[in-house]
Amino acid sequence: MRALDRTRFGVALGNWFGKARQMLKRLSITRFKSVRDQQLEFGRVNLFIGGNGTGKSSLLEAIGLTSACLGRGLGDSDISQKGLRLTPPELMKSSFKNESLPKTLELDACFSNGLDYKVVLQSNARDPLLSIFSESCYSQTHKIFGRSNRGASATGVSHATRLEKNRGIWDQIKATYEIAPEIDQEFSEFARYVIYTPQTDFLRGKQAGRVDVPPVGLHGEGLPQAVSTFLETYAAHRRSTRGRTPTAAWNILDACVRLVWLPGWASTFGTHVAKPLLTSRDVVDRASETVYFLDRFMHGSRNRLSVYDSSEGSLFLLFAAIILSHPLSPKVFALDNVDNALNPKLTRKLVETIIEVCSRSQNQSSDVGAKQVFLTSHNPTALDAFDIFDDDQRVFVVRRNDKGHTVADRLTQPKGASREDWELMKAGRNLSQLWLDGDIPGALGNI
Amino acid sequence: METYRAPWGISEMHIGVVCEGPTDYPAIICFFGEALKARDINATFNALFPEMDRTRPEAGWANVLLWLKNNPPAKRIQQYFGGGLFGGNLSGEQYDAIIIHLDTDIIEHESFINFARESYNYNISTGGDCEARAAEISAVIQIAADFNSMTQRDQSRHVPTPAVESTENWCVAAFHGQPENFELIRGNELTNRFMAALEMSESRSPQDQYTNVDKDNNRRKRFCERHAGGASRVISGCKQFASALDKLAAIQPTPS
Repeated sequence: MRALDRTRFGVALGNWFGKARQMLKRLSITRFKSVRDQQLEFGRVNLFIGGNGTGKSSLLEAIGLTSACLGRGLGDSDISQKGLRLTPPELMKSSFKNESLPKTLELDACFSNGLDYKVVLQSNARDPLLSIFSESCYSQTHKIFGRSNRGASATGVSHATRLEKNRGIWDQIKATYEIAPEIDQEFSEFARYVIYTPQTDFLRGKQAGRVDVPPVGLHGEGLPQAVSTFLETYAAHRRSTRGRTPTAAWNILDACVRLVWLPGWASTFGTHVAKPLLTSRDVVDRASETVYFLDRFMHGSRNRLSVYDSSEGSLFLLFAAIILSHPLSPKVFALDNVDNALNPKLTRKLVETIIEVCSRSQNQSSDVGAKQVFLTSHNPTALDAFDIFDDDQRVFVVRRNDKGHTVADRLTQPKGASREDWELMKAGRNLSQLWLDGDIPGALGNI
Repeated sequence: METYRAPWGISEMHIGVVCEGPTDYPAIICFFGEALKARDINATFNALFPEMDRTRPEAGWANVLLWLKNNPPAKRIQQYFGGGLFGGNLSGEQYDAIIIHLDTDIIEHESFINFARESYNYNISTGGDCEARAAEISAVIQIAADFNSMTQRDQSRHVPTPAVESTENWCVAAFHGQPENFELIRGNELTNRFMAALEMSESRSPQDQYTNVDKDNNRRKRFCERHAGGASRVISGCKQFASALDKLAAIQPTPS
């Protein structure tokens, strides 16, 4: 049994170390679903807002598809493990009225260390999977690898072995050629990108499923095991930082644990194997370890609440804490509907923590903590966590233009406006208020 | 009546509207739209109100004055005339003018008098002729909009539009053929004449007496659209409408 008591935490502030700024800087998307042609410049934390059906999730999927090309490939299981919808390949390509488009879709990803990866994907009506038509990777002007219908090469050497058409070249050659470790690290981290869409039934244990990308499934599968190992990590860091300057990793773990306390009713959370008679018959696996919370307002003899009986918001925050700071979590990921089950204030607090974690993780070179996160939200208070003057924090308003193409515009202050100027211009209102008042063009959709 | 035509030949004008309620909006856009068209100005309109919750009153002077308070000059000017609150492609719609409408029939309302005194330190003069009543409402709008803090150009782009006594007077004027000073119609007479016009417009027989004005938005919109062609009668029969129209038409286009 592992547990964490809120009274044991102190405030911790970290040191700032050198910056290692690895991340996806830019993605050009051409002919993918409703995205006809878009180039997005990303920050460390990126939030997509806009009406329903405008293409926010498609943008997350475009990143996922790029990641799949640098990961295990385009097979159904590879795609679904990333949280992408198993859309038939023909429907992955854009289709618009009165537009005759090439039969391919293109993704061009530029990373902060100068790597530029471009892939062209194709499918025919009878193909069950997308396949790779061509791909290339350059570091500045130096070609790292590439493939086309004329053959493949890596590090300047022709690659003689036949390549699988549904897998990217990187995953097939990386063990064979000597490639700079920073490239390997960048691609390996990005290849683990997934889209999390937590669902209450999985978090509560009413539904079970596989954990394809540790530590936790995309919908919350395997949460008890993830919490258990998270608490082990937390305990180890607490021991190692006792009496010393807190490390970046500790600060990140601490910030994430604080998320769980935010609703204010729980005094402890942990994992244990509950007595079957004290476990709901609705829970799929009643014999294994499960997550519990102690309610600080209930009598000590009957204050242990299983995930089945706990607040949905607390579960969601626990899930967020895990994906943000578990050592096994992907460093680059998306969280679709970050406001899921949360009240407006908690939504803002969660997004603030995400921004804090990404900043600490990157700026303090921590091996714990997310490095780049992509979010969607329909809750205006998510915006209030963002400082749009900071290039690391970016909000995109996603809409469909008059042709139906998805367009994503970055929310920025008017050109040349200082913080003070802008404060006067927006009459001291928060971004959330501007959104609700319809003052952010396109953010309320076309209703 | 002398018609004022803009010497710089504006052909397009985008106008934001801040009005008391949803039944005033169609009257404003239909009658001003048609009247501007007669001066070779093709105007498009947009309501600047955010969507209200269901608890708030649907209409009223407080909506307008609180909108002005919540949207102070720096914000209004930047958002609607100065390139928008955001950069890049999110600059939002830009306007040449904002119509700020209030009915003059609120002048005797105690709550309005108290609000003007407490919020603006302004004592409303009740009574008066049509011109005086319109001037009183314009004065309140100018204080609420903080005209003193604006440049002359920005002042001119805010067009106080008092409807004497209400936009229903414009509707009656647009419907009836006989020349008359329609701004003098008030109270029960206005209710009866407006409702009669509304019923006759829908080929129904009017009653002798009506208790209230029908505030159904769709019905009002249909009426205003059907009788927009009567804008010239609104100009000749409602001097304060004509005055606001002249101010609108005189606005120089916003440089793009």
